[in-house]
Amino acid sequence: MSKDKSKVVERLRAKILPENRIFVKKNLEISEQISAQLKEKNWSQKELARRLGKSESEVSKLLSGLHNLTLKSIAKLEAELGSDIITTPLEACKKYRSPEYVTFKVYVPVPAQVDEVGTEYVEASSVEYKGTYQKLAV
Amino acid sequence: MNIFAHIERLNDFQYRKVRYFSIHIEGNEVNEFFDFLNRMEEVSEVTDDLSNLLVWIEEIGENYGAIKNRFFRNESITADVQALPPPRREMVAHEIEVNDLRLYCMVLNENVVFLFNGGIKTRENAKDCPNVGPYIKQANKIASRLDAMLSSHEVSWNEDHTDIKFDETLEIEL
Repeated sequence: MSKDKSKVVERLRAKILPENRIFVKKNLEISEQISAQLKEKNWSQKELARRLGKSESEVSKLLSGLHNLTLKSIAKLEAELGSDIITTPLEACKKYRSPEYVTFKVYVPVPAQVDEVGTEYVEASSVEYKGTYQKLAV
Repeated sequence: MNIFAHIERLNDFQYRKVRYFSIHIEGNEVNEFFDFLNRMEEVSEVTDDLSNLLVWIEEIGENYGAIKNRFFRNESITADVQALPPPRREMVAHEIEVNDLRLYCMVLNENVVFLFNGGIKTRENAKDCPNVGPYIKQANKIASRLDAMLSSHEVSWNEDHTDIKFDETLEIEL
């Protein structure tokens, strides 16, 4: 019996494995990360290609979200961009759990007072709270 | 003999950021994208690539949008088919590449994409490949027709350019 051609999407979607979803999702996340770093550095894909010694076409393949990126290519990209593209959860914990402190000042509002001729005035707060707190990792 | 086609909204491929369409050639059982999927379904070597492609279409559609310079390529197919680069602003066909698998398409903007046909590329120069050569030619022809239809407003944009409007009986001569 021949297959119903109009039902091809259902058949193919049923064949998608969890690893296909993970592969594409991670690939696109890496592409997004590289693009963000290029934007930050104000580099074009052409500039990145020049620095990597690759053709523009090869770099566009790397960013397509469908290319099977090797760890070697990621390492080359990280070296050229000067920052991480991927970070493992353990490494992220070490990196982002280290304490960071913020200092803030709080000035307390003082209620308006009335002088002897009936004019309202506000005295600058003489109470200043100062503190240093640890910023929590999100 | 003249061949006619019409635009078909791919109802299974309507996402938050991208609406996908295809064209349906008169007399064919399914649209061009479904024809591609049906043919590739029979090739066991590309099962994994085809799965990745479907997930990619979904991910781009739901979370990223059809960013031309990042996710879609056109240099290889326009250079192969056209002797001269297209006049500025004229829309051209694009290519989605998964290893040797090629799907030709047309990116109207970040929100609207037409998926056409394709196959498994077996030659260095796609134009010379019997599997994909004819589909590159077809994709460029349709892209040129759709471009003209947008200019003449036979196909028009909705208010915020996130979708297109067209008469379902509108014929595209190929």
